[in-house]
Amino acid sequence: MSSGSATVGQPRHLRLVRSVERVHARPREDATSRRTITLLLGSTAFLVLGGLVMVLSSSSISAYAQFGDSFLFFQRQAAYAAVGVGALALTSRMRYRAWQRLALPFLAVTASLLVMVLHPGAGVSAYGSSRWLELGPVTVQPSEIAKLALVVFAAAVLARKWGKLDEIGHLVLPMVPVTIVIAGLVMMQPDLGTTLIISGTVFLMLFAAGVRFRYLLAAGLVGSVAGMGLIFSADYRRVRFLAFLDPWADATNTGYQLVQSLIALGSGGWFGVGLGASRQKWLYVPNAHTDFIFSILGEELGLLGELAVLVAFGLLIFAGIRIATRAPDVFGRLLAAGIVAWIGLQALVNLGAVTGLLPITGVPLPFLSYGGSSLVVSLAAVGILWNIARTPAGAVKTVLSGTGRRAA
Amino acid sequence: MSASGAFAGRRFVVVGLGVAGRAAARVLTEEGAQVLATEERSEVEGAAELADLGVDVRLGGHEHEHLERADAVVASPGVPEHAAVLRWATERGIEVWSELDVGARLCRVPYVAITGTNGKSTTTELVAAMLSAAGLDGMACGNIGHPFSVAAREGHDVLAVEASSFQLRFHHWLHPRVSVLLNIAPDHLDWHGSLETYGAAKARIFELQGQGDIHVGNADDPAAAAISRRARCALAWFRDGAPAPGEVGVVGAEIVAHRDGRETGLGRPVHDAAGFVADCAAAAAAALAFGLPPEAVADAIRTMTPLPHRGEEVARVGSVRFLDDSKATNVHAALHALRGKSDVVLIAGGMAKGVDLSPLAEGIASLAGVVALGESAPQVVSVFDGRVPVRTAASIEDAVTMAHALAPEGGTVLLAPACASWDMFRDYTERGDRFAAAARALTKEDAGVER
Repeated sequence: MSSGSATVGQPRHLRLVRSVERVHARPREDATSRRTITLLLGSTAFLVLGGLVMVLSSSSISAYAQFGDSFLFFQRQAAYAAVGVGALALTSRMRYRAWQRLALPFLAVTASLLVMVLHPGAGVSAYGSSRWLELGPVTVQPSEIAKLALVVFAAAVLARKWGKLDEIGHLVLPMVPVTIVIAGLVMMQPDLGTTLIISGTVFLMLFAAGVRFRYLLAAGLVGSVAGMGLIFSADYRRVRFLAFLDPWADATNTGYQLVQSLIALGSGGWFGVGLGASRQKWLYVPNAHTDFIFSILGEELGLLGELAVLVAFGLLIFAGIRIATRAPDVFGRLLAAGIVAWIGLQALVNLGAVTGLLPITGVPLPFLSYGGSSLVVSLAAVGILWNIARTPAGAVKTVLSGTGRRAA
Repeated sequence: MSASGAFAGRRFVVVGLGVAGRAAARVLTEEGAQVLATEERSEVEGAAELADLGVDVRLGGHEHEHLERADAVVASPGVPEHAAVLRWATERGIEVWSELDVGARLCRVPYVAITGTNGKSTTTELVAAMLSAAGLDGMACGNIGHPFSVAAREGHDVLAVEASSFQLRFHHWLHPRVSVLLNIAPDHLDWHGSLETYGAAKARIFELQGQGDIHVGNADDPAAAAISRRARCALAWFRDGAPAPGEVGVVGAEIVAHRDGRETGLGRPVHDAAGFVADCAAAAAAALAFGLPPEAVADAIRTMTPLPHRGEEVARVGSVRFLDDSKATNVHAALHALRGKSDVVLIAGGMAKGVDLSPLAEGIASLAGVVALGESAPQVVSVFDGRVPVRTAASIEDAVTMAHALAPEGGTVLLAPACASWDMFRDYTERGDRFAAAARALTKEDAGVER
């Protein structure tokens, strides 16, 4: 690409030729993809900013109670958001196809982090599971990184095996064992919620890749049986799972979180009790600023606020699906589909838990819940989506070029 | 009130039918349990009502057979730890519950639990007032007179539970979101055996607390603070002095919270007795930890008057003030009442509950005289004899007259007995009321002379 300043002082017709070249070399940004990018970044910004406001509101009590500083969690989350925007800027400028080559090293690093977190000396335990790693001044949650790493890996593998996915051997190897190892490491923390998100995302990516229905059905059945097995293998998980069916039956113990969450949502009514005025955040809703931030949002901003968040997630997912369908190659399409599946599934599982439609599995709400790793990795993923959206069709040579199976 | 059948099909034996024991028996029955209630006394108020509800009431002593097929024994606060019936239960492998456990099992809302040697009731009332000022339906309960097991089923938003060391000794289920240990001083040693077991009982208030919960401790009381530091949850401190960051303290006569790098005033208590001010600081620390806004805390502090018999002025005869601190039933409380005062004639003595009264001598600088009363009068006399004028009175009325005679111009007569009241009175309330009545009678005589 020629530099702009070099053209100054040249004959006009030459400048014109240069600028035409530039247009061709520049990433495709037709009206549709511009609108999609606006939608993607707009909804992301809305969710992140709304999240910051809600973290400030919902964490001030526990931050004061635990650390004597009401603004501690907010300040940290604001810093994480800044890092996340940096990560987004980076991934949006990095050609997404580079991820195809990075897939294996990225997965290997993530897997070793997941092993380290299980090591008693290295991992930081809380609530009976070890999910965090202390790396210098920051605490990292490797399972959040694992979500992106596995999506990238799955997209790379499925793209490489494109056309051979009807053969069971190519489909299963190495996708299934890798997923089981990563999900298994996360499960050993133990973190059932993230395990379900990871396996569910891979499942949706197989679906997006057009894997035969009977393979999907088999995978779904095996996955469901395994999931049920995990739930019923530990007493606390079984009790928690069953508690969502009738939280009021044991409202003091197992049903407590959900009951308090429902009270928060109910007290919000149509328009909410007002920003900052939640009462349920006074030691009623545990994890008010993390997994249950939506309850406090619902109490303070009412159904209106809840719908705004749902619409924002809906637009984000819509933009993501459009980016996936218009992606210039199979890898880009599967990568975008994987990212959308992960964020959408995680939002669904969190919102389902908070509203009592699904069991509580301790999954944060993307972009809104307090938590640095989750926010930074999610924003980096949005950056990848952005890059896919602005990459022109002709810029990528793929096995699909000219086959007519391409969506764009 | 709702019966969830939480205890359906289970057999409980309630030992001791005081107010709390009767409440526990009734609540357990209404929640579907089979209840046998046993009591040493052969006559108990309300026994017939319990029997009508279906409680198997056995009066006139505990028997081995009462424990047949029981799932758990619920011990009333009045039952001594070493009572034979509790030992029998332990030997048979039957769980012994505190009466607080019944409330803890039924309570569907978070609660603040408060314990300590002195100031429990006042702090519990203060916390409840702060919760109400914040717009919650908050209720004071527990040892304070309204049993936790009853309050737990009344549908309040939040409870402030006063927990005595008796009740804490056995509990298995009490899990407050915020717990408070106000102070530790020798008291009830006849019941607990030693200060160590007494402190261990108090420490059980945070036994079940963990991440996300908060314990509030007293930075001024080394013995209590040492226990508080053992809590496995976040810690918040209060003190009677300038607060460090994160603490609640007292500056001038105002309660002040040091939060987020600045001091927030939380109002001046209406009553400036040292004990009451410290209780206000403790309650404020607990309320802020619970998440209440500072304005609500300040509202409650500004309007709360101390409970009766906690050092308020009940009469003034000429220039002599009469203060009723009948609730000062141990040495610590009596010394607290004397703090910062001078020219005091102290009325002390009663049932000493196995506690050594000699530390009372620490208050000597405030004293102009002492009137000894009740069972432990000889001990009181021996502490002060030869150091200040000492008299021995046969009744509270005599004591008031003698104290008035001893009091210098502008002095104070203080009823702070450092002992329980049960030797001569029904309770500390009667002792305080009769003290106040006698003092007011003096006022009238005094006025009559002057006219």
